[in-house]
Amino acid sequence: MSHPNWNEYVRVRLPQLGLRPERESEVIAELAAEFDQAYLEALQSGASEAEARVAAEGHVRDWNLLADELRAANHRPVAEPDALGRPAGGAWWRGIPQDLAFAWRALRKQPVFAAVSIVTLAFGIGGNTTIFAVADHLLWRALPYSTAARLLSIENTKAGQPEIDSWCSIDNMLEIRQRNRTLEYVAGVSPLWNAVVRGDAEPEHVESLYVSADFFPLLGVNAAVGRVFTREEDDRAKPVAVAVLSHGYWLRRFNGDRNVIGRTFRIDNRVFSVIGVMPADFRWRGEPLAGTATEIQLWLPLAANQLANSRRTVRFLKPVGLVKAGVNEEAARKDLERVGAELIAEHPGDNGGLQFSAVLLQPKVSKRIRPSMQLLLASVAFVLLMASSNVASLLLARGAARRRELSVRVALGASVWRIVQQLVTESLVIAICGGVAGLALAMSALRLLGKFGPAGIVQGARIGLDWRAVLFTGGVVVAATLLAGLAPAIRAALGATGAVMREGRGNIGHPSAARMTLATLQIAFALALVTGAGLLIRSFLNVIQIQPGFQSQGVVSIATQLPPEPNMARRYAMYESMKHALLATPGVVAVGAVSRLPMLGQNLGSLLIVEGRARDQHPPEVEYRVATPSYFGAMGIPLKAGRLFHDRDSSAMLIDEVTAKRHFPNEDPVGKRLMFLANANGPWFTIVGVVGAVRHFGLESEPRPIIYRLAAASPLNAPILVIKTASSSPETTGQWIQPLARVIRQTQPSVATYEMHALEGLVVRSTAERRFLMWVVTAFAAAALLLAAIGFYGAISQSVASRTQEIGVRMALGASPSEVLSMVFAECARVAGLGIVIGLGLSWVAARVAQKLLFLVQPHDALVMVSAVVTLLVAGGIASYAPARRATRVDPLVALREE
Amino acid sequence: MKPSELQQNSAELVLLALLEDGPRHGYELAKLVEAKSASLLQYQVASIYPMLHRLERKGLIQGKWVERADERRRRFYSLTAAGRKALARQRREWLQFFTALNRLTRFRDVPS
Repeated sequence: MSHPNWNEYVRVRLPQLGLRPERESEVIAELAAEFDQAYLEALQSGASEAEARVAAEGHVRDWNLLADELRAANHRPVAEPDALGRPAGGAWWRGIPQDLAFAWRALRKQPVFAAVSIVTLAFGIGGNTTIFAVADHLLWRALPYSTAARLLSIENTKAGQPEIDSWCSIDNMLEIRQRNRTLEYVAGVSPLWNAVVRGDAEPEHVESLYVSADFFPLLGVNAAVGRVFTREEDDRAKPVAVAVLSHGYWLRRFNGDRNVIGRTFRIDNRVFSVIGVMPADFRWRGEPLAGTATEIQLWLPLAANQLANSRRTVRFLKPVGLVKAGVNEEAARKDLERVGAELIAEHPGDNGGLQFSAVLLQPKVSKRIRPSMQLLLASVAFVLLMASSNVASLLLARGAARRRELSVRVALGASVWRIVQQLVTESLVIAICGGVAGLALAMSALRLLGKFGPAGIVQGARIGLDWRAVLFTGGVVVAATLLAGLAPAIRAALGATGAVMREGRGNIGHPSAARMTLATLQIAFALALVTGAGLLIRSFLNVIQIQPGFQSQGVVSIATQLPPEPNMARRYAMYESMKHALLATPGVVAVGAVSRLPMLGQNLGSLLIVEGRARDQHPPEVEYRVATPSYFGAMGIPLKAGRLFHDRDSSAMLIDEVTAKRHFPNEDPVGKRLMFLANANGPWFTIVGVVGAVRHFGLESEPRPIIYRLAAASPLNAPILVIKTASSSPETTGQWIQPLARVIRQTQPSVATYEMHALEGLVVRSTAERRFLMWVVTAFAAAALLLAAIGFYGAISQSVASRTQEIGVRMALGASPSEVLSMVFAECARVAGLGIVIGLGLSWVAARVAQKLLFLVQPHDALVMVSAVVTLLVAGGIASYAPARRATRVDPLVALREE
Repeated sequence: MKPSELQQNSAELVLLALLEDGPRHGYELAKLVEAKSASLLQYQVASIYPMLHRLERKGLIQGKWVERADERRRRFYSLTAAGRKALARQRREWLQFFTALNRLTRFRDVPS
């Protein structure tokens, strides 16, 4: 046998180092010399050529490891820690590029481990990014204006009735503007409920607001085309009929024509001319919005409102203020309270019983959605915790498997700190990959939410990923890295020095014990989430059990706006002709009309005087509706006492059960007479009947007292037609809407139709937010359950694997498979049991926190708690089945031979 | 106690000290470590060459190819001036460390 060519031997085996070619061949030559020397020495000590060759070749077993080390040593001069392992010169970061490259190679060597970890984290991170983007949009930046943080809602409520919306009179608003010392601008915003634009095209309902000239500068916005109102145009002594269009409305109605300035259109009998178009991204997200509008299409000067010269008692607008730069909110509030006190003192008659205050607008606007968003943020953070702990569990297992490699590095002089840094870098690479995938996931999730999310909340809200979301994701990546990577890295590094394994055989020392601890915590977190989801599901089921007080099946509603017609009889005749045309349509069963539709949350309160009763401080307050006699039949609202309207019952009044109970307890209301406080010299109305209560403010709000007046006696300008059809399902009801609207327009071409609903859909929509919350939290709980099951499975598997010999010995000594099975299950039960106990504690705390979101369910509902525990036990049982079976299949002979 | 725990940070000191007397090549260094430590310490190929390369990059030692008659070309490493300083410093640090350790644990008094 000839002398081996060691140069060739090394060159073939050593993976590419990626050094300069001269350096690379130098390293190869140096290693070849090592083999040569070993070979020659073996020959000299009497070995055969073949034996010598084997001995020399034994010098390097792991060529990949050698290559990694050589690359690391040759690539960049690295500041090594000093002899005692302290980082050199504090420059710990100098090793990062090298660590990143090393981590990348290490992960590519274990693609399955890498893929599972990355996907797990991607879901956790993506979920967090999605919910953050939504919360950022709906809570923290609910008002997308540069001045958002300084915007105040100036509150003007009735003392002792905080639940009733704040509205302010124009006189009070203007005097607040004059007298305050802390605000830069004060603007009034007032809704225009039924604006119909008439011009060359078909009459069309538009969503519009009257706003002060100060409104736009207050938000720091200007027109994109033309200009916004001047203060002169907003003078209520001589208002100018000008209008600013929204970008969308400009595109739709005026085809985006830049020469739109100066064009005119009619609203009612007034001619307005266009002076400007707002930018495309401008939205009004404050209060109030007209009707159910999500986007205002038309802006008119407040002075053009017919109420602009109304008395101080007429409260029809919401004032917004911009706090001067450098003044804090508290000072502004004190200032406004002072002005309010003056206004009350100077006008005790008009302002008596009112109170003035101010709150920041942004939190006020997002108040309703805040508890839901907080719950979602907390839940998704739990999911991230679970995902991170699953990856931590995988890293623990990997760290144990890499002990040899790490020991070599320790022998080389690497400090514990250095190895921790290296391993954490590997976790960082995993987390960064997970973060990138998570961003992609979040993008799709936000797109889906925009399409299918709850209407009016996220649907169509155009929530995207901006730099804030990306920055947040970066933070989550770092958090996930530390959560998942730090403990396993420290463990593995200490393990490599031999310190841990030898010193303690306690719980922390053993990798499978550490994984058990993680599994216990995961079960606890999962239980908390499953309990939360259970409580929300029960709440939702309770909500949809609630009867709205009317029969929505087959009912279509179409809001109409009649052309200006001062003659009441002719106005009512218009309605009658529409009604007859509709009734002549095959399939239409009944037609009625009303002034406000249930479920939309629109209120119009009235104060009453009851005949024969002393007028006290708090007169009965009720919701006021105008309805036709056939409305109750079409809506299926039952008559509880007395009778319904006749067609010419001009002084008749119907009240609902809530009014009867609240204001006529222990007496028969039928025959009693009422008068409106606002019209105290007006006529008396006689209660002729009591009808069923209707939930006007959604299924979750207790019905408020309502009174109904006969439409013929007070004909509506904008009757909402309620049409009962023979349709039997929500889908087919929807198909009725357009044909019925066509019938109306053919009968009365000057009538505008808008806001058309299938009432079934309206009822469902009122639960949309709750349904969405329930689904999302349930999805998070399912994810948590899955992660906990996987973590549990991994921990039990490893425990069984590490006890293979013990099990083998037991079986050799006569233990039956069922005994082995019960041994494994006993371990599972210990882990799961502890997890469940901790989880119950967590659930209890979490449910208390989320109590606001529960509906007719106690936070510690027994059914939910028991179901959640059973769910966890079933999942745990499934997860532990395979490892347990594996334990029973241990072959005693094989197990013992391994020992 | 097994040597692996002591090996942790000592490799650099060991290699520098062995080069104090004159140039040596990798194989020889590994043999010396094993012999002088009575086999308590053993440096594998995967440890010793990367370590030498690292010391070289840090300028503490310098490698040089040397060819001798009827011997294979080998790379010999020798201490640089910086290496001598580093060796002195590390000796001091280790001495301080062991002194401190001995005060704490009295391991010198315990018969092995």
